[in-house]
Amino acid sequence: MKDENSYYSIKESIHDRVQDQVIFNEANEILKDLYGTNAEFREGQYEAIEATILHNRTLVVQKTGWGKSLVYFICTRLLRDRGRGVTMVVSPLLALMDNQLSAATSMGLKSDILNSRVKDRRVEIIEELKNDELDMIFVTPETLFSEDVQEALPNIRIGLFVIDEVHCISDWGHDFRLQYGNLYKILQRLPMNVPVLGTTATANDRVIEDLRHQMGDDLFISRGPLSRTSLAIQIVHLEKKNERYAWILQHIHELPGSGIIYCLTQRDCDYLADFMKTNGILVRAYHSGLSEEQQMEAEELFRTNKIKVLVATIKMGMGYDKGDITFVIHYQCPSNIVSYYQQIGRAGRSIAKAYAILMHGKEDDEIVNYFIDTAFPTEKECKEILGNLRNSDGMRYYDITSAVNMRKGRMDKALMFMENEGYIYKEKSKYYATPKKFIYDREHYESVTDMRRQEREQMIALTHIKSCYSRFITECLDDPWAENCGQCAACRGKNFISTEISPESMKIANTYLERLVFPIEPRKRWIKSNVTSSTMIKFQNQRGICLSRYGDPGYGELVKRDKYNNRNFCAELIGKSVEVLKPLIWEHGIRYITYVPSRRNRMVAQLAEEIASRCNLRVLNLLEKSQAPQQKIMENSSHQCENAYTSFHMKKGVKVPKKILLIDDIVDSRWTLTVCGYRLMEHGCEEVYPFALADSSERKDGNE
Amino acid sequence: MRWQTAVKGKMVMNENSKVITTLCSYIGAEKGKIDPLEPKEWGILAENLRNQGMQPVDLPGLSDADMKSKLQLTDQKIHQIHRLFDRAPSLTFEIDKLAGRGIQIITRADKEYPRILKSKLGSKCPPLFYTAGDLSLCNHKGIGFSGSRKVTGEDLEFTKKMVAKVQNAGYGVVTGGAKGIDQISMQEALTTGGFVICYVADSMLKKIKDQLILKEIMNGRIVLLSASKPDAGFNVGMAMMRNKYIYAQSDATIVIRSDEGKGGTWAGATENLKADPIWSVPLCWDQQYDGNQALIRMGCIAIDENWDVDLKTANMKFRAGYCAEEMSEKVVPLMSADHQFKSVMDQKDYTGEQLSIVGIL
Repeated sequence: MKDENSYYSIKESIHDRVQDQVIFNEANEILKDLYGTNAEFREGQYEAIEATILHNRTLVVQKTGWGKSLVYFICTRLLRDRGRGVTMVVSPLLALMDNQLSAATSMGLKSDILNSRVKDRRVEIIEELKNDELDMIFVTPETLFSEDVQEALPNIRIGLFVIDEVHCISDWGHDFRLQYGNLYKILQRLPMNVPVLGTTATANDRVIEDLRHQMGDDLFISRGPLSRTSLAIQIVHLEKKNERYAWILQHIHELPGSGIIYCLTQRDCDYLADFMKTNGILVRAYHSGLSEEQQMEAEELFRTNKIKVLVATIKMGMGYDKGDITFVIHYQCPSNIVSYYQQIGRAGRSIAKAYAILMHGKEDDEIVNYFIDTAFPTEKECKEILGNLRNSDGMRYYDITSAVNMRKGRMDKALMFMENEGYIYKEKSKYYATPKKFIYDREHYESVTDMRRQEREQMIALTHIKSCYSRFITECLDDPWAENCGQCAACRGKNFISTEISPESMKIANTYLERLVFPIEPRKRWIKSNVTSSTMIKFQNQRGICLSRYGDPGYGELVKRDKYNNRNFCAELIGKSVEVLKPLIWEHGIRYITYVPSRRNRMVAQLAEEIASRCNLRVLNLLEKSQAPQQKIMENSSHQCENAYTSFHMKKGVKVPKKILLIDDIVDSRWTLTVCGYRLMEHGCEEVYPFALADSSERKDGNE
Repeated sequence: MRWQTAVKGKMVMNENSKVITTLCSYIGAEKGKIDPLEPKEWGILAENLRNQGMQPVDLPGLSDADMKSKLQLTDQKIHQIHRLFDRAPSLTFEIDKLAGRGIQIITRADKEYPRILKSKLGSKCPPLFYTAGDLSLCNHKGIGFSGSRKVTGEDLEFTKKMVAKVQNAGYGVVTGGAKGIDQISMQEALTTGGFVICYVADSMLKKIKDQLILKEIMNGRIVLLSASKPDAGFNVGMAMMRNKYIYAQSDATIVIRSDEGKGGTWAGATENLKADPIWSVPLCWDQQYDGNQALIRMGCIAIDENWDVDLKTANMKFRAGYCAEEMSEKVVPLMSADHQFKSVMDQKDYTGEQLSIVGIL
């Protein structure tokens, strides 16, 4: 068994590899100043430092905790002593930056952070950079490419480029990021004499090969064993959502300390966190759908061990440096081994033992496949946008929204894709076409997609193997040092945590999931379209209720089935509707119900009648729909808003009550309910409460 | 995803080009803070490198002592060069931004650099051009069109006829992308299926937003080149420099309308006549404009509607006339274009009068 923290003996071997004695002496001195006279470099650290200083392009592929930051800290000191410019550390992780900053500062490097959270000091920091006062700056790709930083750049001397989590720039990498696409191009254009250091803990042979192409052929690669023996992996086979909820509830306190539960979507995070909170567990959700304040609060509570669990998307991912994370649970199975390795790598950094528990369920496949299949914009989507831009003198975002019938998420993806590919560019607030000939490299996108499917298969395979999990993982990462860990449930031949679920916890989970309803938040602003401009909506709905997620197990499935068979909604759905509506009706003293009219059938009207008779309401037929395209073929908000706005009107001569329940079967963009509510209130209604059986709005694109 | 394609192939600069761009590009330069090398300075430095058997890419690896002894650089220059190398990373962002808009940089170290310019202008070639469009168009034969910004209906008709003629004979149109004759000849060439090599005088960034130009760049029928940075506005000095490139790019150049003794058209035509050997067969419309007649007296070959696009004969005529004495008399008392340019550029603030000398107002 290798000792994870063993220092490499430099006595003989390192001296053979020292090319530049001056650099070695200086680097060694810095190290000893920091960690005492007995300190020695870990295997590969010095070589990486020397390679970087001698203007080589350097790639460090080492496991978490190996000491990658020390490499560029020392490089920075050496380069600054040689009169070079600031070290720019590009990192995708906000959460990591504070840790890195304090580490750098304690080394005597004058450092600072530039990211979206730095607001008041931003101008000041940029000024310091221009004046060459900083030794090191940590910056996110988004901020680096923002206007003010770009404007200041010509006056900033950069001595060393560090690209943290460099695998993100490889499109063969598991989590290629669009903002990193820009960095890729910068790397290609940088003169070879500018030192560049890329670091990652997760790159297989294929990614390393790709990075070699991108960073330059004489890339110096420092690569070490990836296995982390402090981690004990266990796999928990629980297919159903309610079982996994129950298991977490029952067993979470058997795990010591605090940890992370990873989910694939923001929504899953929110619900699971809510479930745990409802049952008295100290927990916070964490994903990019939350406000910056909420994120920071969650980080802080987690950092100071004030909560047991952080339920997070991959937003809480790479490089987060909290040494005492005791466990990482995967509520759903991630899309590939590399992501998985990275995520469990958060645990047990400075403690002797940590647990990684992998669950996987039925719905995971659907989610992951959705991410894989929609990763690239289609040729048609690109061409539609490009065609519009080429025949214009530049278009604003909303001009494009109303010109193309495309979902916002898809449109954003296509815009970003084409900007990265150099087919379009953005100046001020307008998009323009470039003269570059459009070529859709279908073959390449398909091969990337195929590879991602294979990687997914590999991940599924992990859940079925009987041999060492850790070995399987590190072998997938092409680690030549892969070996049995002796720690995982497979090696030990027994689980650490029982997979048994008691009837009590099962009941709690079931009750919770059954009671789960979803709010319908009122829309507050019109969106720019041919008939509306982006102004406040004068008459807004009240917050409403939606029974289920369309197609989800349970009620969502029933809605889908009934809708598909085009028959009346079943008694179960009506019963449930009445159950969730009664408290609302009582609370607000509602006595009337109306419904969104349809030209196709009376399903919604009948639903309203059924609910009315069981809740003692009167059905009013107040709205009418003119001949119009179906709302569901409208792909983006601008089109949906326009279509609803022109379709729905009040019937002539009807009287409108002060409070009313407005029901529909499916809610998607909320524009139909918004416009119908607006019409009712235009005619004297004061409070409109929307209700729908199912929500079919798309899953957020991207899994943060 | 292969955003890579955006920078694959020739779109990525070679290492020599990266060094030249770092040292010579005015992008993001701020006087007194970052001073790029003047084209002339770079010319000398490049020459010294060559003499030492080195290439531009070797420069960053040299010690100060080597720079001093081998390349005869002063301490001050060495410091300036270091400062310029220091800006390489930040400059890269700017270059990338331009590339994202369809503007590339080519340097003298690139094989796409217009060969004809190198062979005719030698060390007077700028170290780099900002370009948009298919550079291989520069390897085709072309005829330049030069004339004032203000035109009459007659000028317009004649220009159109000449464009049609040269196109039929397989020539592209070389212009300066300004208003008037430049624009007419360009538009005529593009709308009638020809191709255009355009040495632009003002903001390239603005030019590529023009729908027609965008379309024709995609069709491979126009290439834009500029020696000044793409966000630069119109600049007298650069407009004058550009004449050189237009003449050198063209096998022959037709003056449609020129003032006498002033203006860009005049400056360009006389500069060409003074070059030895001339860059371009000098042709001039035999029209009763003072400038045109003066140019014809100085040696430009008079042409009219019946011209047969026979450059060989025109060239022979010119050579025969070159020896005639009346020409040298006419040329000597006039200031050379270089001199005119210099005297204007030396002033800090240009007066309207001075600008009118070089034909800007």
